Parts: sequence; structure tokens; C-alpha cells
Amino acid sequence: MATLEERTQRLEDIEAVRRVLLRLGESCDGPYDADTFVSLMTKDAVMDLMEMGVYRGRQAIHDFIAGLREHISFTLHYWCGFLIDIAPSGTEATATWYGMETPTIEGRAVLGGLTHDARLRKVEGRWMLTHLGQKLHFMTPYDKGWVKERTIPPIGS
Amino acid sequence: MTTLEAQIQWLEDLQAIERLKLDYVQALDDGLCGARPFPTDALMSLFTDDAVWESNIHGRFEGHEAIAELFTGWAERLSFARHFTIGPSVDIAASGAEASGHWYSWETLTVEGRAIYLAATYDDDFRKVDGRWLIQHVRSNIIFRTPYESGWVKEPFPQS
Amino acid sequence: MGTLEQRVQRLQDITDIRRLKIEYAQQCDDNYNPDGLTVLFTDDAVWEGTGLGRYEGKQAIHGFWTDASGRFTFALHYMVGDAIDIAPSGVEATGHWYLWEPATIDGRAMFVAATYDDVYKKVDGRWLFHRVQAHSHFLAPYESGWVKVPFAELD
Repeated sequence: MATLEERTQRLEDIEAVRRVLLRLGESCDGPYDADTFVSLMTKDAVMDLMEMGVYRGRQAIHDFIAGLREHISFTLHYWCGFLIDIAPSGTEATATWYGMETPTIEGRAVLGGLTHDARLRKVEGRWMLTHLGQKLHFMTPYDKGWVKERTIPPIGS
Repeated sequence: MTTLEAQIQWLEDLQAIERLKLDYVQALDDGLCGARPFPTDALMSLFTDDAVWESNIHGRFEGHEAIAELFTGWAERLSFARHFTIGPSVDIAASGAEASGHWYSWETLTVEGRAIYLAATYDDDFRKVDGRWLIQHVRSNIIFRTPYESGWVKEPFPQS
Repeated sequence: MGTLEQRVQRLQDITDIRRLKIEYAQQCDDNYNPDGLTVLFTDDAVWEGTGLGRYEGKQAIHGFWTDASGRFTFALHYMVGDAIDIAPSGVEATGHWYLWEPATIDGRAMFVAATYDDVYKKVDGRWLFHRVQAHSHFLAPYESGWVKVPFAELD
């Protein structure tokens, strides 16, 4: 049976993880702030964007995120529905959430619907991502909708 | 239970109820996106035995069998669904074993091959059974269910 | 770090502020109920929004909502991404939010996208808005989207 302190710590950790993830999303609200983005990740973090590629380590992740600036001039990341689990160790966590986004890609309004997942580790009292993943449900031109055109071609192609 | 312990319990209960709603939403979305077999068991395990599901459009459904049939019926007509849920505002009764919650929902759906935006609010009741929170009553108020091309002013509910 | 009581209180405060913002959203969605909204603010509160003006004090704020209710005949305020910080004093806090708002303005369907920077004060044990800054990112006609028409011409 957990002590009151342990129970409080768990609730605080859930809130802290949520804040780190929100900060991550906010760093991508145009223009993409790659420095802030990778500062929330461990050195050996992996970002798996499926059809958009897998990026290992801060440098590769930084380069990809910074590269998005050329193509995406504006976005708002509406992240919600956070499901956060703190492991019994208190130093590992997993999270899933829903994301809606409104990017302007190559001068076109696009509507994105995604789900995200992450693994985090508590390093010197600070939660950091070790893994970030996503599933793209749609990334549709605003004037089309996800039935007529579910996803635009990969950025930069 | 000390006041401090009661406060912590309240916060944990709030957390648990948020999770419960999200578990429901995720399982339903997966099923409506084509997960087979349809996750009926996973969904029903989140409801009390005397569960009720109702909305201003669909009507009222009582018990696991009727509710499961409602969901699997949707799965035949929908090929895609994502519920973006916002909230909740949760009230937990003094007993600590009953609660109600209010949510906003923004849904992107594909219904019989048509892209639909659905906006709804939910008022749900929950009960704690053997230490676990379960959904007892879902009340969905659908505000609009508009074809993507039209929007809620032109066509708040599909004409055809 | 604080005592256990203080730590639990902070978590409670975050939850209460979340609730306050959702109450604000609900009152906005109740046709911008001016009474229901104004009661959520401190006496010396300030509300300002891009392109919507700056309103100081409860009376001005009440007047603003009364006007809004005439033009926005429908709105749904989806408030997400809340980042709430409670000051060490325990009676002041800040919050940052995202708003996704389908709305009907002057009879036209629009998507409003905004972010908020709020300051809250705890008065007699209750959290209230002390300052609300709404930054509009777009107010786009439904048919056009935010690139073609980022801010609709309103009468």
C-alpha cells in the first residue's frame, strides 16, 4: 500500500509529464524550435514518425525538426486526451495522446489528425523523452477533407 | 481518513475517471477505425452492469447487450473516427463512490464514405465498484453532425 | 519542494483552475452569458483579445460579453493544452491554453483559433480570472480556411 507521499509523488509526476509533452507540442507551433524540442529529449532518444522516417539521437532529430521550418510556416498543436502511466519505479513513464493540428504547408491550409505515444525517463528530477512516436490518421488539405484526400504527399517530396 | 488523505484520494479518483473516459474513447475509436474483432469486451468491461447509453439522436440503450449492439452497428457504417475529448469537469460525491463528469467532444468521422464533423458534449455518471471506477450512464448531446463540405450553418445535420 | 500538504494543495489548485477555465468556456458557449462570465473575474480584472479590444473592470467586461452575445450566435470553446503554474504564494497562478472554436458569427460558420495567457488570483479560497489575454491566430470562414482568409471581415 503506497504511502501518502508516494501517492502525491505519482500525481505530481503525471502533471509534470503532461507539462513536458505540452512544451514539446508548443515548440512545434510555427516556427519549429528545434533547440527546445531536443532539449526535452535524452541524448539517445528515438523519434519514429513511421512513413516520415525514424530519427535516432538528438542531432538527427534536431536536423529533421529544423528542416520542417522550410515547409511549414504556421501550426497550432491541439494536444489532448493524455493517458499517462508512471511505472512503479517512479522514474519511467509512458504516455499516449490525441493531436489535432492546423499547419500551413507550402502555403496551403492542412488539417492533421494524429495520435501520439511517448516513453519518458526521469533524469535528475526532470522528465525527458526517450521515445516519441505517432500514427497519422489524416493530414488533409483543408478544402478536401480526409475522405477525398486522406494525406498529402510526404513533406519535401 | 485524514483530510490530507481524503484530498489525495479525490485527486486520484479524478485521474482515474479521466482515464476511464479515455479508455472508452480509445477503444471505440479503434473499433470504428476497423480494429477486428470489434473490441466489444474491452468496451463493455468499462461499464457497470446497469449501464445506460443515450443521446439526443440515437435514443436510449440499457444494459451491455443493447449498448454493444449500438457500437457494433456504428462499426458497420463508420470506417474512421477520432474523438478529441476535452475536460473533464468532474464532481465526486461525498461517498467517494459516485461521480459525474462533463466533457466536450470534437469528432472527425467517416460515415458511409462521407467526412463528417461531429460536435457534442457529454454528461456521464460513474460508480466505483470494488475499488474500480466504471461508467454507469453516458448522456451525449450532439450539437451538430455536419458533412465536411457544408459546415454547421448550412447543414447542422445531414439532409440525406 | 514544500510540505506534503502544500504539494497536495498545489495539485488541487491546478485542478480548480482547469475547472474555472472550463466554466468560462461553458458560459461562452451559453451565448456568452455576461452574468455567468463576469462572476468568474476579480473586481480589477482585465480582459483583452486581438482585434476585440481591452476591457478593464467588471462593468466593462460585462458590457463586452453582452455585445458578443449578439454577434456570436453559436460557439463551442474547446480549451486544451493547459499549462498552469501556481506561484509560491499559492494565491496567484498563470495559465496558457489553446482554443479551437467552431463559431457562427453574423450568420457565417467560422473556425476561430487562439491561445490564451491568463493570470489567476485566489480570493477567499476561490480561483478567479485576474487577467485574460486572448491571442487570435485565425478567425477563418468555414469555406475558406485560414490561409485564404485568416481573419474574416466582420461588419
